Amino acid sequence: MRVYAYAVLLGLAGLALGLWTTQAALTGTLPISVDRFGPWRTPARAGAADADPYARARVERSGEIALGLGEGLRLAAQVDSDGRALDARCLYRVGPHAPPARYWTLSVEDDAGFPLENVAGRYVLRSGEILRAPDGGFWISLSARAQPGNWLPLAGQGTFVLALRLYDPALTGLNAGADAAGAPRIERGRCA
Amino acid sequence: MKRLSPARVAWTLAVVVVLAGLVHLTSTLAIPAVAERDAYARVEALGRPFVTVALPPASPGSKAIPFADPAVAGAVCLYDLGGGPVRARAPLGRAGFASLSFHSRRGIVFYALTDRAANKGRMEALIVTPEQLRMLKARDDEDNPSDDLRIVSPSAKGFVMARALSESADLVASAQAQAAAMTCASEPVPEAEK
Repeated sequence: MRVYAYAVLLGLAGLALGLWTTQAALTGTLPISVDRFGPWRTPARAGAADADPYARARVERSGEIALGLGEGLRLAAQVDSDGRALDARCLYRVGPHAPPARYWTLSVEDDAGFPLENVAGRYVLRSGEILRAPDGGFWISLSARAQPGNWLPLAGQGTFVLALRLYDPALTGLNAGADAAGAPRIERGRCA
Repeated sequence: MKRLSPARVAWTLAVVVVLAGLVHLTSTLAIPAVAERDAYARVEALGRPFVTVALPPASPGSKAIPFADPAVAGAVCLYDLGGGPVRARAPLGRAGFASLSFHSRRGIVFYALTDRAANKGRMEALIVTPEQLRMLKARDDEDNPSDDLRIVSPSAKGFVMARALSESADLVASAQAQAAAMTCASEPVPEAEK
């Protein structure tokens, strides 16, 4: 009897550990098959015909219609440049440049991938509609209160996800080391 | 309980790790087959095959498709290659960026093209099965080659997604019209010989 109990225990432990690692890999707790650019993350080659099983499982589970490799890519940040979780009660500024691409957009999402409700009804900023410095640099403010210049509203009390989508990026095989400098910084200001 | 010898502890850990590895691999590989709310299922819930459906703009109120860009208008068209190759077409418009992407039943973007690859003012591709590709090739005229862009779909069913980016908020409506103008239609199965 003791042998059977031992076997069952081993089986359960293996099952639990296996399911946990799958969950952790798909939610990003374990950095498997993920490219990093500073605070930004993107599943490696999610939009490729030869996407690996992790990328495919992530896309299938999320229900998103992934961008193809030739179209562009979605970078997502859940932390600021100092590694602190993004908090809708804080003020952030994002800039001063973005990776080279024909267009990019910046939007604020909840964990399920939908825009955050806000009084201004603004969910996105496009690369073509922001104010820039003469050198092409920019800063975008994220906060619940309206800000002068480029402003993207935040709402709620909890965490949020910042999504930067690059359309027709200049570099298709974005290289983590080389491009971390090209990805915008996310700097936290005061918190309410 | 007997005393745990180091060998027994090591053996136990090894068994657990191997089991966990198997469970991890199996569950990861099984997800595309068992995911019920994947993109294909969501698109299937919106419309019938060969009918273009404009996706509602991403907003807190519309939960049709997650992780969509609020600045990009989208339209989808389900296809089924059972009745022959499927031609997808999307006209260009004022959108700063427009694209067509081709999605299999199981979460693979097997092809995408952008407005940069447009020809004669539109993006166009012919989706085929490997078998249909063989038939088309057998029928091809060497002196007068077809200028169709042929894309082999890994599954008989799938969907096409058209995207059109609005460069500013006042161009959202025109981007929506542009994306919704995409069509996908079945063509007759090519004859094997001419």
